[in-house]
Amino acid sequence: MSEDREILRELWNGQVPVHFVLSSEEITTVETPQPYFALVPRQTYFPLCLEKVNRHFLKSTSHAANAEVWLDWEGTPLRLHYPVGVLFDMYANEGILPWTVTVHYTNFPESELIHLPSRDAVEAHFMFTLKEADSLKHKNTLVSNMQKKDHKQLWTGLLNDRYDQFWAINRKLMETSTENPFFRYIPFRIYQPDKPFIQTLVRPVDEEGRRLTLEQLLKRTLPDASDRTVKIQGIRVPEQTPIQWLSEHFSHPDNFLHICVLDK
Amino acid sequence: MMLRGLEPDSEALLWKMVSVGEYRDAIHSFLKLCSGAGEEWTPFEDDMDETRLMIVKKQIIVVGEGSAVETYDDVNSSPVDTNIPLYFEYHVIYNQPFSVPQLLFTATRPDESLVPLSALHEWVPQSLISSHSGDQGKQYLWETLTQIEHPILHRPIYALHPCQTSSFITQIRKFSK
Repeated sequence: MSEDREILRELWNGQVPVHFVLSSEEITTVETPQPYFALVPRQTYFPLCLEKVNRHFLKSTSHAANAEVWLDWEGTPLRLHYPVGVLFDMYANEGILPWTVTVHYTNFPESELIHLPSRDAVEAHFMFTLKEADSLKHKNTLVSNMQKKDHKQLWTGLLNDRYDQFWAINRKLMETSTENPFFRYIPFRIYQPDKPFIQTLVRPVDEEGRRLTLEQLLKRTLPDASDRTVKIQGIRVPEQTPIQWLSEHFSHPDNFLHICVLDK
Repeated sequence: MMLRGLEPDSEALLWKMVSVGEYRDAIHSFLKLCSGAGEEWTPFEDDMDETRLMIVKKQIIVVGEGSAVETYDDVNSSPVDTNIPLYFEYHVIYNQPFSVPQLLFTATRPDESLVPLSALHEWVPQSLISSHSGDQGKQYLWETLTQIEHPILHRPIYALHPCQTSSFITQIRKFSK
């Protein structure tokens, strides 16, 4: 794994260009506010990086400064608990860049979106997902045996964009040995347009001990899909890649492989 | 109060990992017990995936003046007065990554709006979180009682974190006696 370490840093630094526009329903001033452009890290969650966006738009709306913000893309509310990179790959795809999203401060669509009103909420969601991945990968979970300060370090590493701080702890969750070269199950989620994500139990090796590839994982979970584009971290990964390797190198900070399957 | 109806046997399940088979057996036994006791839990199966067996129960909880709370299983039997009825729907599912049953629920007001998580957090008695002080107590709440994407229905729902469920329930049982 150490030879491929550069890939980890490259992926960590991935960003996507976003064009934020205030919803016309929110505007209470005479002038239409200027849009706001930003390069947003793929690995983060929108609720963590909208401070500047809010400051920019709240001049144009009479809504309270602590109003809960939500976003939509062409009318589809964005699930703010998904990593930014996943949302981008699903909705922006090969379309016009930068990716345009609309900002709202009222009428939060409660039946569709989970509330993440504070940093504590995002932290709880992140840690919960991380523990889920840990439970899938290791028979005896590692995260629950870590000290509280190590949990905090994972979170603050993500929050403050500190690659070294994050990976100092995360490497323990990605470690394998010669006796145990594989994770128990691979944590992954498959996203398709207008469908709920798919998450099932898949081992990184078959009964004969051969490494399972991305192609084989997709065959097991999406037997009917044929003509498609498959992206992980915004990259069209070769489908012959073993999923054990992908799990170690292409996972998001939550330790999940977020796989986007789109029509060609 | 929301856990009235979980039999003592199911508490043991929450302490250790269970297989899908054990979960399914426990749910079927539980359903048999419930029909005898007049408790309304409805099972839902996914023909393609036996791990997605889910049971659902609806309940109306009336929050009166001075936080007196009464529960009703049927909307027709609850009194029509100034008390506010809240509509709870409980789901028990099998959480596959953690290999344990998990309790999920929704809580809505008569106008169909969601009871906010912050309000639910306030209802948790101090004694249940007393071992965690100040900010830690607040964070403990966020880690224990949260809103998640329902693993089967893929819509927002409140959830008891599987890891905290057993200790949380133990505290509630102590408290409610």
